[in-house]
Amino acid sequence: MDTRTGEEAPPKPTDLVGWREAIAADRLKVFRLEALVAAFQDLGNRDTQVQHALAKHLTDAILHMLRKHVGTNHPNEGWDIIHRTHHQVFTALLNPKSADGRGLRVAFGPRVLFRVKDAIAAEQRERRTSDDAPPKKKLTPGDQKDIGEEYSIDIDASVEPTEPDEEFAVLDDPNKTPPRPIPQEDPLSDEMRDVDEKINVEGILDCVRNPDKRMAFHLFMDGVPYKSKKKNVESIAQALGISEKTAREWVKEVRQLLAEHEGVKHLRKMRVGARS
Amino acid sequence: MSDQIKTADRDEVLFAFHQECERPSAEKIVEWVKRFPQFAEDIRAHAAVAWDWATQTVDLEVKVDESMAARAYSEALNIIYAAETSTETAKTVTQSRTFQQMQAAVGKETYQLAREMDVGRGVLADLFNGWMLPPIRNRLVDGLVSLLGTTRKEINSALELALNSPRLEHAKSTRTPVVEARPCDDIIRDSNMSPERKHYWLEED
Repeated sequence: MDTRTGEEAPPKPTDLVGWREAIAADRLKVFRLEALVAAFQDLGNRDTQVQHALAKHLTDAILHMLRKHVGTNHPNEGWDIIHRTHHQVFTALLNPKSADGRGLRVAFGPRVLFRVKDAIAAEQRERRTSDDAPPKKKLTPGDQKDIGEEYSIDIDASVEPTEPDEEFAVLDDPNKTPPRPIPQEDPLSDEMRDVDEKINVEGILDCVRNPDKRMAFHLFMDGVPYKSKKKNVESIAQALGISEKTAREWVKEVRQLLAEHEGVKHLRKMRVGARS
Repeated sequence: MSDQIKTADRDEVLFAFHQECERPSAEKIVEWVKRFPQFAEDIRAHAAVAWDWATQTVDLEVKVDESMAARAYSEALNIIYAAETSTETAKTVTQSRTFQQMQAAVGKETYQLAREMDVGRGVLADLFNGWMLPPIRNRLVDGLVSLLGTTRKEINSALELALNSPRLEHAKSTRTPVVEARPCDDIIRDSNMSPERKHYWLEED
């Protein structure tokens, strides 16, 4: 028994008899998955029963891990992505010299999860439409006006807008490490922040189809300014590689969507009820 | 830089990005994009996924549908089969090994293999010497595949080699040595194994 992890020490990767015994005793589940990967790769098809038992256990582990993380909001409830990722991981298992093949022996979970994140990113890229792309036209006076007006979009009509350019003013000494610019002047943001955690928990942000817009909103809620001229203070625009105007439009769009979302309305009603 | 190296680099950069940034701040995203501008689009796309994951709840009690698990396992077996077929093809192209070479590779004499498989030593000896005619019982082939660390295809190649150049029995004063190859089932039936073991190896159970 490994006293550091509480897990049993597995047989050596090449110990065929040891793995046969472990399988016969139904003990695969007490070993680290990395040990199973090493045995699967090193034993190969010396014993097909052992090979298949290890394949079954690793397959179940991969599926369980992926099902926990892949939401049912993806096409075919996420199963397409899960099966694609499983296929990719299993192919890597049979190719021990590949980067993934080596990596799975060292850190099975992180490698599998990386592969599914990559699959999700690829799927999102494929689903992207021309409407999702950041606008490329130059700013016009009308656009500038729109930016100023975005603060009239509110999930709470009673909240007064603030001046946009002061919202994330960075007032610190440039010689010091800059603290996170918290948008404390914006009561709207406070309002949103109060329900932000619940928005995430309830999966309400899934209504925002574009992942870049969701990230813009996450960064906005994290207190990141739309723009920043200060050294060492990054902005939403820089992080996403978009213009400040687009950053503002995206956040505005998300806030509009959320304001109309029944789930947010319900959360806000509960919040008001809790106050009274 | 070849496409393959570029893909490997990309994967390692993105993997490291996720390891360092579970909830990537704007500073981290900009920092990584500046370090690896060639992967800027991927880094941002992965940052978006990381944010979604960092803010979502994980259902710890999730259960995987049995039919989906069965489908994935079947897929895994297909991948294994495809990989073996590919390896076998490569091996066949290079050279085929004899049974004796396979034995030498695992360092096991015939009697040791017979003991591990619980099969009559004479049965294996006849097979290895080229005195056993195909078809060979699947159970026998599977046992050898496992113990010799080989494949069915290589066993078939070795059988062909053995039949083409069988070992001669010891010379006797009364007659010249001859080779009398017999069917697999006959050899099993005529062996000194118990009736139960014969039934087993004849796959009559």
